[in-house]
Amino acid sequence: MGKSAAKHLILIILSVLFIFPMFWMVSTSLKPSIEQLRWPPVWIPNPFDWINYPQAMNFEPFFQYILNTLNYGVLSVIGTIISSSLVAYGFARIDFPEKNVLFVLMLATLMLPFQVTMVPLFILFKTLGWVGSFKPLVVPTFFGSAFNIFLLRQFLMGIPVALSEAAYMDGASEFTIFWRIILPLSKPALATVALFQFIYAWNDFLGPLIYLNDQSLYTVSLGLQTYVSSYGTQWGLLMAASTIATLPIVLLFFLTQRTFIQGISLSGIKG
Amino acid sequence: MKALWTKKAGIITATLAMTVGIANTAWAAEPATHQVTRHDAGVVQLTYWNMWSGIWTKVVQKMVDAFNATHPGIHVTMLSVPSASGEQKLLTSIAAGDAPDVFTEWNPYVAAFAQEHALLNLNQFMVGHYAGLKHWFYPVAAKWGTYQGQMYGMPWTMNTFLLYYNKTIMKQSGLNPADPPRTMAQLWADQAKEWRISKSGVVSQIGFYPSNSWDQYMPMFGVTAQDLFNGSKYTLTNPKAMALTDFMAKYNKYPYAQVSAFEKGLSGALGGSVDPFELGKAGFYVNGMWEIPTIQQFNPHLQYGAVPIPPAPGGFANTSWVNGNYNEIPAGTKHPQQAFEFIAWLSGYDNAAWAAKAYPTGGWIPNSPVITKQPAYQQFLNSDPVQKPFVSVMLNPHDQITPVTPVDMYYEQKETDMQDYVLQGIKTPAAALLHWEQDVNQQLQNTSH
Amino acid sequence: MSITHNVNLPQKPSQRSRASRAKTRRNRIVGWLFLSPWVIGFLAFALYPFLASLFYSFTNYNILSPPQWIGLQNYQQMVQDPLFWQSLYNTLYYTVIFVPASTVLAIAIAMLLNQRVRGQTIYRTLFYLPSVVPLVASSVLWLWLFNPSFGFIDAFLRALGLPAPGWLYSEVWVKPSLILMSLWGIGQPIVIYLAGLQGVPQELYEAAHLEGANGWHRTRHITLPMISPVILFNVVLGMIGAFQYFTQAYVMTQGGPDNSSMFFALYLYQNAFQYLHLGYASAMAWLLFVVILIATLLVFKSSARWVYYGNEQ
Repeated sequence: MGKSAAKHLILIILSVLFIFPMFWMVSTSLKPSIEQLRWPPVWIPNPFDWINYPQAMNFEPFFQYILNTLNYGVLSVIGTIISSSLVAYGFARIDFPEKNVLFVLMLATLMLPFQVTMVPLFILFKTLGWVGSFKPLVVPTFFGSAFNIFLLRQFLMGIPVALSEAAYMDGASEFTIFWRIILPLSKPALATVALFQFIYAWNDFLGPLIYLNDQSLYTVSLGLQTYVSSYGTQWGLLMAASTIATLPIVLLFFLTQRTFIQGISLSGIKG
Repeated sequence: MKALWTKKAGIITATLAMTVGIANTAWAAEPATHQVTRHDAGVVQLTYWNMWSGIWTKVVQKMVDAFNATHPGIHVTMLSVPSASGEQKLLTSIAAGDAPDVFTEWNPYVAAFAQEHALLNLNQFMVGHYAGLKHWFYPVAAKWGTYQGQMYGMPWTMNTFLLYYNKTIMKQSGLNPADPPRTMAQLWADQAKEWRISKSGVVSQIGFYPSNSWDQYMPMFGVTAQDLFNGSKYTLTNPKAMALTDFMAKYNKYPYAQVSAFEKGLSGALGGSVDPFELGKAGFYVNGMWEIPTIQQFNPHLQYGAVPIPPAPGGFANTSWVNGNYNEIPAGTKHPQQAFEFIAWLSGYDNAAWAAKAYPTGGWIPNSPVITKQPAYQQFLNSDPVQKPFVSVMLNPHDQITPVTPVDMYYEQKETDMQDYVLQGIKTPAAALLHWEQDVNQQLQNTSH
Repeated sequence: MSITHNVNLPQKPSQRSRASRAKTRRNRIVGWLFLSPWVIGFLAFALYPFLASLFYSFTNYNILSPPQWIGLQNYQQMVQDPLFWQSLYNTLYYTVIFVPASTVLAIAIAMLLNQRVRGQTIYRTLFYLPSVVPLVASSVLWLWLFNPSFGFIDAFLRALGLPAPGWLYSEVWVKPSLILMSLWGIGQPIVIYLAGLQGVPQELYEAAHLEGANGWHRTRHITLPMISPVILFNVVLGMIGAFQYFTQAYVMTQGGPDNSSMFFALYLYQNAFQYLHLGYASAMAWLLFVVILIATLLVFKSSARWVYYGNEQ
């Protein structure tokens, strides 16, 4: 009994620490300009002034930005799931001599700071004629992303080899094993990858900044920058817009948690 | 359980699919308003990038729209790039040959770009109808955009820096609010009375603290750009620069960490800030004219005034260090003449009356006395007289700028370091200046061919 | 417990049977097939930028004009640049402290969240939330929180009579402040650990409980080994990320005070886009690459001793 209470207490204290800055974010979004700078600070504004929310949405075509970002997010998730599952399977479930070298090479692509690869990569995309569209951001996701491949690989390596061997004995091809056995077992891991990729796309700032040249294609992350300027940040609007930008992710996570946190279900498979 | 998951997954997928469908139709549809005339034959298309944000984006968009309306042969499409990484985007695009036709820059890259022939020399266009441009700007405004005698950046909106003073705090400290300091010595004495620091070292009110750029005090000590750069090397360890640095060093008696935190106030990311003066917690503060609308918005009951920063012996009164926003044309543009027409128009050359009405909407100081004299601008100044000295200092021949060299960005970065050393007492003024000078000269050597 | 790896160690040719050689050949074909999307992507999008940046490191390149070959000059300049060494130190400091701290904290929180408590779903969302807040908002938030004069943290500490440090404005405290802010954002590793924890079969715990093992014993001998593949993942990626730590410093401190938060990637960025020395920046980048590569290989090498794949007993 005491143990459960202690757990609850720790959880509550830690949650407060984690959630506290967000609380301030929402609190700030509910204050009009004049209230922003009161000292000592007002925790719970009285009354709630919702003015920042419609203003934030109208200041910029935020709805358009959200649509753009959703599009980018969904397309990149599709690309990532398809390619990363295939590649991760190759790394995790098939033995061939060059595997380790390729794996290290893949990880190596994460080790060179983006600041220096940006210019040649941009030149590459410019030559292809993709600059000014979402193609430079979406197309590469159809060829796998090192982060997601690595993650899936770790999970796939935890599935017993015996499963594959049994199917192989029965004459199944590698792809059949992949499609019929391994993939269904890794649904939660795939869901995790989908969520992470979506969130990455949602918050991606640099990619859209560099490759988009049309204001009507801007994403949420670019739109949020509007409220920050050298001449005076619009606090209320910034926090309102940020709250709006965070909500879909929070909702998505809340609703789909159970799905992917389940891990790889191995019940009934023993021996 | 499984059924529930499948149902939820189904709902989510359906929603997403719908939204994606809508988004893609939106993408395929014609974007609204500004690109309407895109496909007209014979109309020169110009792309224009700037780093304005917030309400200024809208102000500038209106200006662009006005240009498009009055110039049927040219269509300008504007793109607002977040200033957080604006340079990255600009540089990357130039590297790939994808530069815009015009861009507005407010960081000191003019010389660096000009040296690499990345910008068009604007003097070549100042002929015929545009010949008058050579003498149209405030002299100090033209200097910022000029490198080795040629103009590469056309001045557009300017900034001056004056001393704000809080009348209420002056009264509380036994000072006369109708008599703000007229010398540096007076400022030092007055502000000393205004500090409130608790026993535990917590600052709750500042008198004055020179945390803004060292450059901004140049005219007050008689330091000119030529004093600092002799054409081939930086010469920062000269007596006048020393006097300036000594003045800053005096303030290291105040606790650096506490004060810099206080000064930065509710600092936002990358420059967006609400400073303690707006909060009514600083007695004296140096800033530009944009402070005024912010005070209006966040703290309208503040009792304050603004005067030119008072001079020290050997310095000049009623002056300011000046910087601003410049319009530049990348060398690769396909329509140099039209691009020039556009920036000349923005600067108000052909349309001073319009500029005089438009600039106040951004709270901007004009680049030319011609605009300042216009009735509309005078009306704007009179509407809040505290603004007047910000503009009148533009005429002073002793106004200064930072020396224009290809390593201006590096110079500014190391200037911040130098100030930090001096204000913390880590280095003496002489040592700090020497270190800065050697650093920048080394960088200059590394950069030149 | 036996260690399982899904890696074939190469054997001497004479020892391999024909069937085994055929299997290797078949595996090789299939393996490359599965890997082909990544291989194509690598050749198309990664190879050229990699080689280009290596080339730039031997040049003087200001982005606006074509690069000029200068050989090893950038590298020579680098080792003589005191700010290079300082930024390297700052980054090492950050990495060495952040990676272990975040690993321990994330696992601990994930284990807590794995318990059956009421409101489990809500708690998990709360811990994940900070990692999805847009950076522009969270940096503003933390700048305010950390402010020694206006901010909440120091006000709170003072109310308790504790010393209130200068946080982001103090040379000594700026790196710990940034580490603290990063620890706040470990929602993603927590979720990944949670997923890993859920894959640990209950039977193992029950068996251990019957044998009289206590909580810590269970953690050390069952939980941690069972989630070790996931620990490897988070440690490797956390390390790679920590070595390239940049954005918060860029946005909040710009390297100050006195370059005590001038991280390697930030200095690199300044050289590339502010001082227009992309050649020098590329040299810096390749040095960092080598450092990260060596560190990662070392971690992988050590993983043979502590990572267990599969459900083998």
